[in-house]
Amino acid sequence: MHVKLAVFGITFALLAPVTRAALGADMTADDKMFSFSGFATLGAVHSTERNADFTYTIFQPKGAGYSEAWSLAVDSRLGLQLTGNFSRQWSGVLQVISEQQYDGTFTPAVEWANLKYQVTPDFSVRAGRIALPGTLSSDYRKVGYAMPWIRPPRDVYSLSPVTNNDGIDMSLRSHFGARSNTVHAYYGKKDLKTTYLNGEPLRARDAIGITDTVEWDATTLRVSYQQGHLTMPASKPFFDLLRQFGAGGVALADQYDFENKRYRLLSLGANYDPGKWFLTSEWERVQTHSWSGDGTGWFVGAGLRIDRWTPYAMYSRSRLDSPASDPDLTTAGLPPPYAAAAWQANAVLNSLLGNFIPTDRTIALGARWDFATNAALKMQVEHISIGSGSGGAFRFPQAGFVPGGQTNVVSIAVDVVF
Amino acid sequence: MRPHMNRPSRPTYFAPSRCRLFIALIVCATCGWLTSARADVVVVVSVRSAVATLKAEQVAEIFLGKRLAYPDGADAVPIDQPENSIIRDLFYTTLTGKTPALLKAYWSKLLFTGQGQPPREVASAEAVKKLVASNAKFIGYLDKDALDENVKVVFTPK
Repeated sequence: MHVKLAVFGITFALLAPVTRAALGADMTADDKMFSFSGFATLGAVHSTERNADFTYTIFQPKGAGYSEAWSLAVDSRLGLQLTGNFSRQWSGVLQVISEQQYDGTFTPAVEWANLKYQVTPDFSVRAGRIALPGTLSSDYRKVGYAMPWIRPPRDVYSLSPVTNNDGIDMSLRSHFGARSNTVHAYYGKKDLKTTYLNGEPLRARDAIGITDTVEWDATTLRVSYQQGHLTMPASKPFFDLLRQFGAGGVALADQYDFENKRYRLLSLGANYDPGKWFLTSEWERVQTHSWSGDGTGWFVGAGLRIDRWTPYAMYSRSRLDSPASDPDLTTAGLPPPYAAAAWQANAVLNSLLGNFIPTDRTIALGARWDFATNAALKMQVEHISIGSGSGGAFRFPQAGFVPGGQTNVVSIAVDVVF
Repeated sequence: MRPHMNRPSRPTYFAPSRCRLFIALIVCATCGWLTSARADVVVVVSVRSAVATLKAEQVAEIFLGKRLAYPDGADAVPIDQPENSIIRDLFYTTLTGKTPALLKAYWSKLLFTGQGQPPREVASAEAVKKLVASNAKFIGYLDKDALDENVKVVFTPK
């Protein structure tokens, strides 16, 4: 882990200026066919909870707290992008990101790889691996420089951790005087590897979604809906076993298994940003009809821009809407071997339930300092109050971890774009 | 700067009259410097362009990548002055309320999600003029004093 981080750190330090010098990298478009750009974050996180890890997504096996007192693995990443402008209508994007993966490595992965056809100035279609829109900052959530805080609030953004989709999308913009409306619709699929069951694939199929964004003056409003079907083949044997326990077992298996289960995501967001200050709020609800559960999250964040400084505050909440444990299989009246098996099945099921969606609330205070043209330094302190019985934002609990309670998390990050 | 009646006289250098003169000079110099630094920015297209005038929001949308065409449907391609130039910062602050850092954050969002690229940047005001004059699709901004017969003003920020 430390070796990987060291490699990442050195890559981070060397690659940015070197590639920039070599390729003339610049965010600015010019008349060349290809342009090269990138973003990076070097971030350290500390948590006062020593018996579990503070992580950001279900893709991260290591975080701050138990694994390391200060973790560089939660927020650090490097993204490189090649943009090709082939003609007036045709363009393409290839983006590769190195960040902590489900297996603990920083193996680079293709984040986007798509071709875009600009049909009219206000209508475009894309095919390939495409950014998933949804919440206001879901499609640029990995670009720390683009946002005032260290990372989008976990209480909302952990409900929809998937950032891309393999398929097609279209974007249609309409102008009404000073107002504009953008409809974004997409269809696709995605194979995910999470920290659950050591990266056994989770398959999202027939993912279809629509996002509508209204903008005028300093105001942005967005509503977004997505649905699809999720399957995790690796959890099938367990639920097949559960079905052996009569009608009760079948009912439980049907309720919690991960076989072609319909998921739904709905989000609403509003942002007001006249420049000197900003106020933003989002609400999101997820339903999975499976052991990964249902949940709701929302946040309100605001900040002031004073010269190069942006102090900010954020309040967020997340709630598990589905049971964190279940009345379970009845063990009473079963012969001893069956009772033991049923007891074990109950334990497995209850270890799965409520694992993905926390019940907690977070107060975050921080500041961003734009110390250079392409770089920002951020510091953030979070106070997390975890609901009783919930693991909150904390994963991989060790002996001695007590669900619920209060924890403080401190984060420092440097973000650059080039 | 009221005369201090009861104090012993100070060196003449600090005499009230000289002091007033000194302050007045500094104020005038500052005013002069401010006036020269505060360029009057105008938005220009080629004289051959069919576009006559644009509204503030249309110019802002073109330069923020939210509008890829003029109201008549013809392609619109914005041209930026060099980064950190006074006129560029003035143009964006006046029109969009965004500081250079905020603008960079804005473009990071669009660029790294494949939704758009920042305007093409050229080396000088002279280069803006040359490019804009060369093709009706280009749109740029210039200091009012830098105008010539090959470009025409389509918008003047208030």
